[in-house]
Amino acid sequence: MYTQLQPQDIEIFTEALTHYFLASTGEPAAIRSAYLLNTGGPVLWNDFNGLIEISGEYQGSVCFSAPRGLLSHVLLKMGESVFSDERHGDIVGEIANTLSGRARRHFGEGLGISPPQLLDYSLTTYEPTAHNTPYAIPLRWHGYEANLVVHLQPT
Amino acid sequence: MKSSPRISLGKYRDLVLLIAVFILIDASVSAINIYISHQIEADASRINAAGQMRASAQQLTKGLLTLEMEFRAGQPTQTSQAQISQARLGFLDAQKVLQGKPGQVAGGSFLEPAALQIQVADELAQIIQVWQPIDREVAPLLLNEPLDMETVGAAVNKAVTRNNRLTQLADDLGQSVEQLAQQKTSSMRSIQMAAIALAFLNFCFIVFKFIVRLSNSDNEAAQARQETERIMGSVREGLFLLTRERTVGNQRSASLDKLFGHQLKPGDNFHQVLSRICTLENAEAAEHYIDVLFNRKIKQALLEQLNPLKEIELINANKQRKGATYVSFEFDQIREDNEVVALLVSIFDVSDEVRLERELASAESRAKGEIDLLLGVLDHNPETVAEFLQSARRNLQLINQELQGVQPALQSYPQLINRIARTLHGLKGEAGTLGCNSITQEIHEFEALLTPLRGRPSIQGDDLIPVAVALSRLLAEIAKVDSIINRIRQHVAGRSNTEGQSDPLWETLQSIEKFALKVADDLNKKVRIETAAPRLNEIPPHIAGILKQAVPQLIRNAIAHGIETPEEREQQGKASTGLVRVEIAHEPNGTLTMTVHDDGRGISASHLRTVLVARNLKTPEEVAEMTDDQVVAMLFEPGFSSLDQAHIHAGRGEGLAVVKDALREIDGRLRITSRVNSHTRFIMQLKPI
Repeated sequence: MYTQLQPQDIEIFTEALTHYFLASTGEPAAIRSAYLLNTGGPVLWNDFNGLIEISGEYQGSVCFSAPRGLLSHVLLKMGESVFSDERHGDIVGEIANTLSGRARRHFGEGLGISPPQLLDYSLTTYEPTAHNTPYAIPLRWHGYEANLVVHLQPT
Repeated sequence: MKSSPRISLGKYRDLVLLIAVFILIDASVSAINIYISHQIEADASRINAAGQMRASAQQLTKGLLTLEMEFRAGQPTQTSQAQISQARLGFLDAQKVLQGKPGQVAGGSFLEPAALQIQVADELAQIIQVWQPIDREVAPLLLNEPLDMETVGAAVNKAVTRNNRLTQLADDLGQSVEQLAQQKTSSMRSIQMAAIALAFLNFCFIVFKFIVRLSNSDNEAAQARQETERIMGSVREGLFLLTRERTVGNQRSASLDKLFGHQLKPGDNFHQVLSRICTLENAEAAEHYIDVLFNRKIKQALLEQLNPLKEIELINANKQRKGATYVSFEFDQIREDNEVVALLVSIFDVSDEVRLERELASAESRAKGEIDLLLGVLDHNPETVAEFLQSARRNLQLINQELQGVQPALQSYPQLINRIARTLHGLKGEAGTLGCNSITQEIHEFEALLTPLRGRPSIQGDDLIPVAVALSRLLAEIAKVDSIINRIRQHVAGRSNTEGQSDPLWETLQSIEKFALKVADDLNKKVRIETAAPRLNEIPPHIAGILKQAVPQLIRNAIAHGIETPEEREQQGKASTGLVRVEIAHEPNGTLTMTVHDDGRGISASHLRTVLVARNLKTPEEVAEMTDDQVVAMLFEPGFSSLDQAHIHAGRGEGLAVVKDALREIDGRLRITSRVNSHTRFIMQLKPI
């Protein structure tokens, strides 16, 4: 029997994100208050969107969405000098990978986690696999705002 | 398993027989050796006898010649006679030896060639034939009688003439006897070699049989081991032997590792293993249970019901462990000589069974909850409940918008949490009035989540994640109730035209009365509800809001804080059943007055002062400077309650704050009159709109 999504099931992703920013740039990201996203599945409202799909005891997705400016700034902080789309996408993919690893540790081996995929909001329409209300957790870093959308449903 | 010695002998019978034959052959070889040594000794004696015969014959001839010479010279002859006698006796002894007289070693003739035997016998016969005339002539010389020349001369003559012949015959006899001995020795050596060869062959056969048998045993053991390994490798249950030392035995099924999610090694201490995989309580209980099982006087059938390791949940810290979630252990005593030497431990994965049982229990609980919900809301006007649900959903969406829009600042999060708490408390009152108990419970849990946040000096954005989760759950519960209410509404809509005009105020007061009785029942108090209200065809919206939000809060407060328990009331000389009275009246100036009255313990300003200081909300000095009215006004501050611990009906400190907010929205007024141990009366005055 699998229980409803617990706050700690979401907190692991925010912790992973703050840890990523702190480790990569030396500056933590500030998590803002979470809210319910009434518009349905992950909203791809930023330039770069990294998404992992989850199946098994929980079904759905976790999406990290960030504007180009934020990612450029992260690259700068990391000492990079190339600011191509590819490098921006790499950062989002890396973050999605971090989320994936954290999910695997938290939920156990019984959970199926897809490889991270980059979604372009202008070209792609994403059909969510969970049908409950997703949680949106905005985070602020250096004046930019990124979003984490946790859309998981117990099966 | 012990086996009897007889069965062991049967198994090794061939080997025992072979070893017996080997020993027999060895004994035979030894006997032959002894026999051969005796034969050699006898043959040596016969060869010596032949030599002695020759020497005696010459000694006799020499003695006779010496006697003749001494006799002729008239010298004494005793020495010569003694020499002759000695030679004669020597010859006769040798003859006896060669003729096989008593004392000689018998046997051996079967190994001697017959021709040689005949030859020896002939030669011996010839010697005797030659010897006898000499012996006849010599014998008189050895008598104690005077010698005469004739007798001596005859004897010398016989001895000298036959000496060469006798010597020659004795030499021949010696050679024949020697040849006979050589032939016999050769035959006996062959027999000896054959016996040794036989013994060696027998020894080789024993070794061969032993190796074959050992090899067969090894093969059987290897096959048995292979079969055991196949069984242990494929059996789904975890199996192993638990030794008296409480360690894991060598033979164990491979599924154990899968069940436990990590390797279980032979020799591991079982109690340490248990304390790693299950709770300390289960591990300790199992330790005592296993101790009892090792007691030979205890029959395991008597203890099966007490097994503490049935359907136990395995510890899964950080969800790192793979394997079963729930397992059952079974223990079987293994007895030898009426002693429990080990326990066979069987472990079963019962995760699916436990999951199904729990799902069934959960489904039953959900079904019961839905029936309770249905029965709860059936007592109320479905339209009223639907309105409440819509309003609740709207309020919660506003909360969600605030969560989305709130800017992180020092005060913005605490203020938002206070607003959420007040909204929830209002909704809880309404939900309780309308019999939506599942929503009341969900809000109560939501409030419990907010309480620690309200006491924190600083709140971060991620502290609000549980708030969003609780909001989602509450909305889901409201949606569930809404779907039930919609069905009831559709059912009611079919017959609404057949019924007369309803009185909405009366219906609302009925709901409030039911709510009050439920609160009293939950708090183990006895309450009588009285209501008095004018008949209204419709309730003005501003009054409806107060009836839904403020009146339930005041009634809840009256019962939770005001009305004493039946025992307390009796001690104070009051009726054990308390009175809560709700009155609605029109004033001549158009003002509507709503009064909630209870005959409980009243509001004690001095008690409130103590609470304010105890909760560190005010210093003793500040409290001392406050008037009683100011102290009572603190009841309307959000988060202040005179109760030490919150329960579902009171203690959050939000009820009167909700009333104050509701009245403020419609510009209403509130008065409180109270006397300790007598009554409390809240009077709300609502101006006409």
